[in-house]
Amino acid sequence: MQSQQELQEMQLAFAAAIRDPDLDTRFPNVSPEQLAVYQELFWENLKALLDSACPVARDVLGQDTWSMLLGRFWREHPASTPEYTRMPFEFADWIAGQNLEDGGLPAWLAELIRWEVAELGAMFAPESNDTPTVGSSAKATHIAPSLQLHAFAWPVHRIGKDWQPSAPETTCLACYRTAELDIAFMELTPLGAALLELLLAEPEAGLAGATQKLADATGTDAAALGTSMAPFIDDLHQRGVLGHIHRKGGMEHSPAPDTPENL
Amino acid sequence: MPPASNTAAPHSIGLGLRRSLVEEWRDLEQHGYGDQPRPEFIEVTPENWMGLGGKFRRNLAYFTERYPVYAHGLSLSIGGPTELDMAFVDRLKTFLDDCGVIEFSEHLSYCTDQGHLYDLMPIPFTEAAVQWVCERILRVQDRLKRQIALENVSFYAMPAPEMTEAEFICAVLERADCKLLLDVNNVWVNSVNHGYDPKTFIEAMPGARVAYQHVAGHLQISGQQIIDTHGTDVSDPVWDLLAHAQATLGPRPTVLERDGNFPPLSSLLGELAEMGHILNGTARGTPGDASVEMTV
Repeated sequence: MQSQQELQEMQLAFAAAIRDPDLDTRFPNVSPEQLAVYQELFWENLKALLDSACPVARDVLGQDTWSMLLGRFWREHPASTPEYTRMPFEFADWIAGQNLEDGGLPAWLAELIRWEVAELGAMFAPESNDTPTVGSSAKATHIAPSLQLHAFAWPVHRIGKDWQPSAPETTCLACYRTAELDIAFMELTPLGAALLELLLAEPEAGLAGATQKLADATGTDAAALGTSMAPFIDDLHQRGVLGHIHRKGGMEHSPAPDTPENL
Repeated sequence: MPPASNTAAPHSIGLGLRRSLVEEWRDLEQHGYGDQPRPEFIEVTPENWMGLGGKFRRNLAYFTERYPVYAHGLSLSIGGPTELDMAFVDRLKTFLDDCGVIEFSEHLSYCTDQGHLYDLMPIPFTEAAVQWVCERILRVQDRLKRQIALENVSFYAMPAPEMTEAEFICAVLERADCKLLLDVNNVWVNSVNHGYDPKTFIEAMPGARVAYQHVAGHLQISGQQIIDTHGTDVSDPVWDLLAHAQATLGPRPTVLERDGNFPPLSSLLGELAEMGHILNGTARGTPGDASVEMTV
């Protein structure tokens, strides 16, 4: 009779044989053809999950290279998330830790995949249930929980089958969910991205706090910076990326453009 | 719109909620089903919906407010060789409670080694495995504060078995005091792939423990090999077997699972009409019957 330990060893060996057909493991009562059914089903399932999450990366790399990459991920990475929807993020994290150029892969690949899954991040992000944080000013700033903000070394949003960058180019991108729950994209200036990042890091300090910090970091005058950033901030309010949080009562997505004084 | 109730009657016909079906389904909810049946309950996969916002949350809420809800999990890995993920079980509980789930089912299989493989591997039919899996089921039931149902899975290989599939399933259900999700399609698939009599298998199942049933389509590779794809219409042998289960074990709420190669929703509703005939013990439609005419 099988012992508990033998059971677990067999289960682990069976899974390993599915992940890596080259292991050529044999099991009692199991034909190579039967094992091949599992190897193919599991592989196709993984590919379907990641193909749909990263269509641009798959197209640009071509089927062979893409499959090779997924094969490495499949064999080497024990995915920890039970939620299928979160698996592509694990893939993006894994690839960020790989030495791409040593493997003959484009240096921008990890950033491209990060940007592709950012769209999923905006689609999936839960609504905020938190009571809006109240800042030191009358109005603290509410930031859409779906906002995905990324600073990349490469212009990943322009990459496609017909064009790939030959040199790095600092690129700040964001995506978020609109009021209609569709996904919208933005390209930001580095200064705009820095301001948003400061806001995300400390929303309770509000726009005034973030602007002051950015002014300190860049050696500029906060009032002047606020004035120059006003159109950008207006745009974010229009898009619903930013809203107001009043000291008393709930959150408000301000439809009215903000004025520089609010900074 | 009929209000959602918190039960599904024994003859209830159910449909698996899939993202690909949502838009068309909402349309029918708003404009009516014509002469086709409205599903009587839905089944959702927690792993595809839990913790999501935006359109996913909106669509999930739309359907869970209108229908009795069953949930069918994928990632619990109840027979897995590594530690149960109890933090995940806690997230599951929140999801089940939030959606008012009537029955929660999982697969009598495993899907993990040190990580997730996102598909189902067969638990060896051994005494050691019965003990291992029962201890885990008891822990999960204790944590979820509910009895769970486990599905007989389709399998394509069985390393070193010490007992039959039916003996294994019955031993687990009895010792863990849990319920069975009888997947009629899987009974058919396994009976062909492993050469046993599907009706005898169904007769061996403990009727009182059957919480609900599944039917689905499969891919016939050859006379001796079927792959369980959920990507085609339900085949005639599976309808026949559902009728046999109905006659042997009594009617149970039954879900049509469709996971790919989606036809128009009207085609799935046609299959639900067929299912309804069988669960109600009325004569099956003949192949020429309009109620079973499919559009693919």
